[in-house]
Amino acid sequence: MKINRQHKPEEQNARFFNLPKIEKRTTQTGLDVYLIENKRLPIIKLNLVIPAGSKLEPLGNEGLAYLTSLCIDEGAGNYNSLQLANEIDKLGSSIELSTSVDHIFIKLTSLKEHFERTLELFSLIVKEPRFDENNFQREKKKQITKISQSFDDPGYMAANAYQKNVFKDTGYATPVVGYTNSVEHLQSTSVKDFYKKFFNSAASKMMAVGSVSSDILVKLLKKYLGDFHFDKHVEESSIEFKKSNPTLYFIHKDNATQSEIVVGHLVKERNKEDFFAAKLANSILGGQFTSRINLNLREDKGYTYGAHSSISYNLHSGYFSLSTSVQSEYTLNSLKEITKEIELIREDVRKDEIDFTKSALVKQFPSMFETYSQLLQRLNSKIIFDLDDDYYDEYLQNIWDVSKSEILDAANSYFKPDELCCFIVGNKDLIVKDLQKLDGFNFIELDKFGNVI
Amino acid sequence: MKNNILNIDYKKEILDNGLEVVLYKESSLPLVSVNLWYKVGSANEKPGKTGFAHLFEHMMFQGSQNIPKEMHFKYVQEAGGTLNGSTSLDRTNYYETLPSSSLELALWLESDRMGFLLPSLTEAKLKNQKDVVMNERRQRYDNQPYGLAWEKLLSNLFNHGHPYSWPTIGWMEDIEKFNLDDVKKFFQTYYVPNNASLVIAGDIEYSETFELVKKYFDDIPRGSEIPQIEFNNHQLKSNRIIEMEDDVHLPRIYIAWQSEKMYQSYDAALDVLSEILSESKNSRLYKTLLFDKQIAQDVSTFQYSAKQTGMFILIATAKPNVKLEELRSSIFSEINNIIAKGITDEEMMRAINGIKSSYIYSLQKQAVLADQLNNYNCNLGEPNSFIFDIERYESVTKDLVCDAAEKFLLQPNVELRITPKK
Repeated sequence: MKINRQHKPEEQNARFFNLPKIEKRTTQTGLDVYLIENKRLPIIKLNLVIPAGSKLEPLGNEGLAYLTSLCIDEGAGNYNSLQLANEIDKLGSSIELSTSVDHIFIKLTSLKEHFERTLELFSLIVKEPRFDENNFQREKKKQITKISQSFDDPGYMAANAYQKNVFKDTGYATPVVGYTNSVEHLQSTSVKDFYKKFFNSAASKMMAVGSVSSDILVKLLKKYLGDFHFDKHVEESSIEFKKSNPTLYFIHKDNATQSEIVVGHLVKERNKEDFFAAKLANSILGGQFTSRINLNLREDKGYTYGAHSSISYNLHSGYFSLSTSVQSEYTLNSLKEITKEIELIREDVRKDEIDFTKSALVKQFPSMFETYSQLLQRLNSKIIFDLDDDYYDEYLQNIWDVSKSEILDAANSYFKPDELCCFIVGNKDLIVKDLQKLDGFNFIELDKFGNVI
Repeated sequence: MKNNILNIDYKKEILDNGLEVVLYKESSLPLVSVNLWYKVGSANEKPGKTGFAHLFEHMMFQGSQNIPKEMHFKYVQEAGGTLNGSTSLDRTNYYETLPSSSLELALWLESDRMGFLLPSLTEAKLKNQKDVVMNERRQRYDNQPYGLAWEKLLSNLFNHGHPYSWPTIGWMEDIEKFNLDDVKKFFQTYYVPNNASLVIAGDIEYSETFELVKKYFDDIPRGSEIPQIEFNNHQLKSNRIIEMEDDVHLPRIYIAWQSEKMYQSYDAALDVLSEILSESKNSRLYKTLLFDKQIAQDVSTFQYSAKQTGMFILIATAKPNVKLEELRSSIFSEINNIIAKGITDEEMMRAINGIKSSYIYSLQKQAVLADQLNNYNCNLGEPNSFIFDIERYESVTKDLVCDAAEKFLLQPNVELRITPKK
């Protein structure tokens, strides 16, 4: 058969995609549980989300939430640290902790046949962590070493400087791991107090995905967590954010063969009005491989392996960031191209770019629901940001409905040259003279920890 | 045959031009994964001309005769798909997952770059992607803490000229010298249907999909015989110690041994050994180095088995003020302990259950499943080898693990010590 290769093949009719159903139950101890039952594989995943993030740490106790998460699975109930790990490992299950500025997450992954026993161990960690002194001391040392080790990585240095300066004077400015000197001062009583203060929070939520029905899940939660009450109302003080001025922050790194660049600023918190318009604007600017910034810096100029931008959200703020690693000698040129692209997208977006991006976002929708981890992520954003129950039902229509002028408005309110902070980690001898030539920016030199020198 | 996650029904055909085609229907989501292996990796390169296989991972996205530059990405993304490629010692894979309604698009793109890449390969494209690859190298290796460790290890563990002795991305001086003629020759030799295996997994119909594959691939001519890789493998005669300084806070030790090839007798036993040494809090090295003595910040081990040979690698980072020598001697006393006194039933159970569950978890993703099918097809000749693979682990005995430790880890090794710059 002779075929004509010159034209793109026609797309077939897309098969209808059923959104997974989300069930909501509340246990008798006040815990809201959200479940997507899915029996494709004999796997169950749970995620307990506790509002106990680093922003809640008392001043001088930076790193406390993270240290609490490190210590909480080091022994619980009758098991010491190694015994507990052994019980979990024998099942081939995992229970993992992580911490963000807003939350501590406790995540369980188990094969269906071992779910009940894994849940029993999980509940011990939640209810009866031992916080033994020897484990506390060991984990604390580990955390301190981890903090100093992180600064070997120029990418981490740039991201840390961004967080510290863009979120200046708010609870979001502190790195989740804390500072070596703040962690040094923490005592095991601080960890115990932090646990007592926040783990019973009435705002805790549980998400579940996999091969389990809601009836069985609720029954098992009653059996193992039925005596743990999620009923404490924790007051949160409001956070005031300040606008930034156009500033170029420079951090020297010996022997750097590239410059790490992160630019950005705060944006408004996640909201219904222009969320999708901002998502489209960001996709066009830097949110996909064929974005303007990646085609420019990588595919046209060859300055970098890749450039990417995102609009991300914490509970109380949003932030825009664009990052790339470029060959040292092209640092200034890259910054010029970045600021140029930011200016340009505020002026115009083409119809073909809009159509392309809408098509990509709409058609990739089913693949956002493929793995159990992805399903859990979908539940996560829905619950953390308190999205409407029909959020995913309306998702596609909301993308189609965004107009060109809405995208331009979003570009103007989410990408702001007059608030742009640029963070550069690189070799001072090679690039600093160049950088000082960049018009319109204050120039500030930082030490490697992101403090003004 | 009844489908279940570990015993799948599939259909396989080999086209006249030698292209192997494996189809697997699984329609729980309206998605399809197209996964194409070219059996060419960095091992097919020559000293002085390293980095070609990886370079193609870039050039293959630069458009082909009927697809303008950048459009390869655009077409797939516009259809709601994701795509990428990766290069290892023995193979390069290219893959995309898209809505099943756009399967034909993926076949059009893959066949155009298999059959018709060279007419559109220009100096300008090569120059651009050379720059991108050099920046990839800087970003991922040169400018990363401990980033040059891997290539130091390989180039010392294997003799000069051994196909595993250079890094997959290539040496910087070789990347700088890439020229269009060499690049074209490399493509003509290896990127031919008789050196490739295509897996399509997901929401498909068998006969319709075979027809589509034939429509796009049948007229691509078979290439010449694929040249065999020829080399001598000189085993190390004595331990080799390399010292290197880097911009890092903590000293780190790497120890590398040559070990078993993929799917050979001791391969699974070495995976189990690695679990027992370092995978959990109760593992031998974790417990000794991080828990009891608290002299290490982290420790990890892995068996990297490849087609020509395998390697067993151990990495440990010292706590501040701890000497690497101290780490080293604790590490070897644990290894010797296993060889002399054996391991427990509980250690075996943890290791094998851990391996089994992470294997099953990994198969949730259609793209991973498609790649695994291709791995089994290319390396074992049987795509449905999931049960075979799990049984390799279930049949490992305690004695076999100790034998493996004795057979490989007492041999001469390469020890790389990276210390902070003074």
